[in-house]
Amino acid sequence: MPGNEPTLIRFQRRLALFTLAAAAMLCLVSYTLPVFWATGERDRAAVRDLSAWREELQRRADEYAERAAFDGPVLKRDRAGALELTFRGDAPDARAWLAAGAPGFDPRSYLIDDFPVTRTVGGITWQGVSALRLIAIRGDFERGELVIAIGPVLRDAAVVRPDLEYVAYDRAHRRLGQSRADSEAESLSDLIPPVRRIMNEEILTVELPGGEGAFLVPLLDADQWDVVAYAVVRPHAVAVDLPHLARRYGLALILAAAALLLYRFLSRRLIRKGAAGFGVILLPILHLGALHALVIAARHHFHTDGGSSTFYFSPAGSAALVLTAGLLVIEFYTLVVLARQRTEASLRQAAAAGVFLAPSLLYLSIFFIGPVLFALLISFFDWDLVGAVRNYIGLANYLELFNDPLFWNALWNTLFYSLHVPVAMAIALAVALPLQRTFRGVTILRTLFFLPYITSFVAISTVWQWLYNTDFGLLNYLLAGIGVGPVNWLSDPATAMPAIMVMSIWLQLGYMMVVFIAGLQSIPVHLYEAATLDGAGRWQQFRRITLPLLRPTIFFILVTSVINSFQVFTYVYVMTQGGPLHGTEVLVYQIYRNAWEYFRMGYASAAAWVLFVMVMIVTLIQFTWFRKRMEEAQM
Amino acid sequence: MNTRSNAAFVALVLVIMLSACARDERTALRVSTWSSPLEKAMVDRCVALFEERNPEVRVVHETYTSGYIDKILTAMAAGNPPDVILLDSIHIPTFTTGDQLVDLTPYLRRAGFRPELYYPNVLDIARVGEALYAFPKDFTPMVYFYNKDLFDRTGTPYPAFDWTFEDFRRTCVSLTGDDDGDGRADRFGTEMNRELYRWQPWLWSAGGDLVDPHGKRAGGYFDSPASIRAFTFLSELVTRDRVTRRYEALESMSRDYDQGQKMFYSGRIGLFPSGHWWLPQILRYGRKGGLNIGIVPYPRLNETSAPVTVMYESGFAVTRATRHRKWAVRLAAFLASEECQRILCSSGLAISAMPKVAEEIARADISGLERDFLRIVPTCRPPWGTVIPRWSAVEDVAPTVFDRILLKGESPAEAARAVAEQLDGVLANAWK
Repeated sequence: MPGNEPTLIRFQRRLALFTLAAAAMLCLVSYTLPVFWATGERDRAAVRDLSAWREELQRRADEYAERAAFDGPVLKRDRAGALELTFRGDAPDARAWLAAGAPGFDPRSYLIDDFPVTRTVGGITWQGVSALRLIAIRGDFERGELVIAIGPVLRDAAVVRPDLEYVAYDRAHRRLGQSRADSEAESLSDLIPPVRRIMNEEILTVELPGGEGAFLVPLLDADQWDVVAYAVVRPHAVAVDLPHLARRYGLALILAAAALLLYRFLSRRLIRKGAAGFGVILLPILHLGALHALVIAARHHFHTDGGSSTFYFSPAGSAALVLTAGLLVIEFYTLVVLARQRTEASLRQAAAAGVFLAPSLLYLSIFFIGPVLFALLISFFDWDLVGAVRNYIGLANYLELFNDPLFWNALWNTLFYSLHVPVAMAIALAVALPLQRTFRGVTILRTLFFLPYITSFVAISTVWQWLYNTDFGLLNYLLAGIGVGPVNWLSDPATAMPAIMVMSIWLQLGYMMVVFIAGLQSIPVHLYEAATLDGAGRWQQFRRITLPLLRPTIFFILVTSVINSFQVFTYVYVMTQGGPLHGTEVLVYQIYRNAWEYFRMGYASAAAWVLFVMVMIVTLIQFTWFRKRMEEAQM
Repeated sequence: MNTRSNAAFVALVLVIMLSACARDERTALRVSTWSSPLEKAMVDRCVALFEERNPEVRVVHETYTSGYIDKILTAMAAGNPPDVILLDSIHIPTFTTGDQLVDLTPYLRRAGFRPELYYPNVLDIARVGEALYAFPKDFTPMVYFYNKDLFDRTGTPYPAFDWTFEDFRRTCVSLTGDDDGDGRADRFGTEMNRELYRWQPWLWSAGGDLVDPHGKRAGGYFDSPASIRAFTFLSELVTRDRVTRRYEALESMSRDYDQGQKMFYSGRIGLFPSGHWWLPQILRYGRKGGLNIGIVPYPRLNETSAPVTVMYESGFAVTRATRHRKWAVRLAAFLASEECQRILCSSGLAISAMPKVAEEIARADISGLERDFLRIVPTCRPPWGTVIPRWSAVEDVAPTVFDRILLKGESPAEAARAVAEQLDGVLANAWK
């Protein structure tokens, strides 16, 4: 097996690079081609700025509302910039209104023409007239809604965005030739049947000049109370905007590369360690992921219309497909190598191990790895948890984070707080040394030291809050006895964090002490006896025997405590709320506030990932440093 | 025989299982509130009444005593929010910007909701433009509670409803004193609370404001001369007049207001800012220990200025994701109806949003405090939180103006300017 490793690794690296290159190439190609059919940046700006159009639409909507028996339509603009037109009213009124031929409703009045467009692509200037058209109709029958998409089209070309479902028409209501409309319905009328099948009644078709039809389908809500229909206008012009592209799809590429490298790393481990059992579990999960990616890609890439399928390029879809294909190839190759190198018995053994590991792996995947990855995903979005709209903003959260003085303040506070760890360790060791021995009452003493650690942190924080009280606190009372104070322990920015650190030292003392005692008791006694015979004093014994042999314990406590200190939250939340003047605001508390008080889930997730990376780096440094020390000690 | 008995057993189990699976054909609705156990019983009563009158509907009342808004938000994110939610006014923007609530305006007639029966300024809190997003349940203005016993003991006249900043200062000075002769004050005129909702009325009374009229910018408003006047006045109560406990000693640096409230109960603080929600508790203490209290509005700047205070409202809103809009709207309207107002407001935690019910309760109140509360209603303004999204961020940043003045020693003008800048950043983010 080790003999095959370099070849395999080399192959995987090459495959990963090839896959990346292919993904990048496909993304580039898929963007370059439709660009010639796309509107320019100015066009997009024009569409985005729909205020004049909106006012006009609102005016017409108001007129309509006066004439119709409905309460609407009402026009709203959602946070993504889409416009939404809502028809709403009593179902009986709606029926009567429809029966009368929908007086006063003219879908044409919701269409606005003539957005002049000039764009330059590759040195060639294109000119045209953009128009907002009723271009698609889609029913969301579960919610009792009708979605009518109105979007910008050019006079001579259409915006081609395969991830949007619509049909593009020119100003004369002719279907555009060289556009995605090839595979779409011939006319809007073709879209009626599925609607008619479901609703079976009350479909109104309004003839437009040019022979096309527009529709009003009154959909009743679950209570048969309301008629609800929506017209949604989405600014979806595409521009040759490289920074935008880089922002939007750079991430997809980075993720693809990361996934490939991770996979490569994992598969290498699988082979090297021979832990095929993991593979048995991991591979089906990857299969599922790949399948999911394929489904997503297929939804973007294929449009089935009357049995024929047409393939379209889409950057996200292409990347997903290429990534999936790459993963499958690597996976297949890994499996082949594994199968060739292993006996049937060992493979069976590995499969059995995989089955036993499956529950915990599933648990870890759902409750740990899944949320962590989801946090990474939403760190690239502006999401307030409330709306369905998650605006993709690329690295903006991270950029904002690094430009936020409060983040740096919280980072500094977190680092400062973690300084209590070595102090706590030193004290805990000092306490553990005498308490490792057996004497009368040692168990009670150990219990007393350990008790705080198993007490509710909230209760402890509240008690310490009282101890630190400026006017009534025990600490200031004692200090007053020697003529000092009063000290504003928790309300002075200079003392608040040290006060919390002191409490943390007290709290963790017991835990560290217990671990140290375990470490101390594992040191062979004969070493001390030999040292005593050689005339070594207590201090020399401590330095030459205790400390070196305690290194693994010290390392364990240091790593876990530093990680814990980076995650400090409860004390700050209960005692100071991050104050005064952000003096005790630590990273996790800031993450909590951003997520659950300000509802900035994306921003909070970005901060959480920065913290994650930070903890990982610090832990790796600790690992490296200690390994070096251990190696030195062995030499 | 054995096989037959086994088959009979299996059949029996199946029958039991199938009978357990019998579907309730009624329309199921969920309503969420943050009620205390007492309030929960009251909401349950209203829900039972609704079910009694609408046998085709079954209502499940879910109540959360903590983390209410987090739970609603996660339920929304999961696509399974309750049909009707009790909505605190300061969370309206959170839900409306995310378009998660049903505009109730088109349903007023059909739901039998008559806006003219409610306090207009209370009803308007849940309005965004023309849309109405909640049927109001109740509200509370912020007022000053005063301990009459302490006033009597120190020979201080009770505050008048039209008192001014200077009257407030004089009253506090008169109340503050050292009882045990150790050179340190044992009783104080008032409590300096750093929470925005407790000092917001001071800012308005002084002619200043937190933000511009659109709620989008703090610069020029938070640091205006009028606002600085309010910050100066409140800071001087601590530093110059020393009529409050030392700022550093306040538990209000965190969330524990108990100490100040206990000092108020025991006659060691004369004036304490709070809302109607405190009334049941304070009256209970009063009944036990003979505590006599009164309420008075926030003081005006001077004789020519108008009094103003802030009020907080809650109401029943319908989530957009409901699959039973008709019943959800009807339930929300019913919970805000006169009949339910009588039931729900009997908890005494807030004032009914219907003048008729509120006045009935005031007439029945022998302490006279309810009547005093009603006198204050016309001077109430909705909080900025009903307009500004991500309001918590503003609530976190704004109070640091006092931290800067009283802990860092910055001048009120410097502190206001610095905090206004921070607020502008927060607002820019909130409106993004």
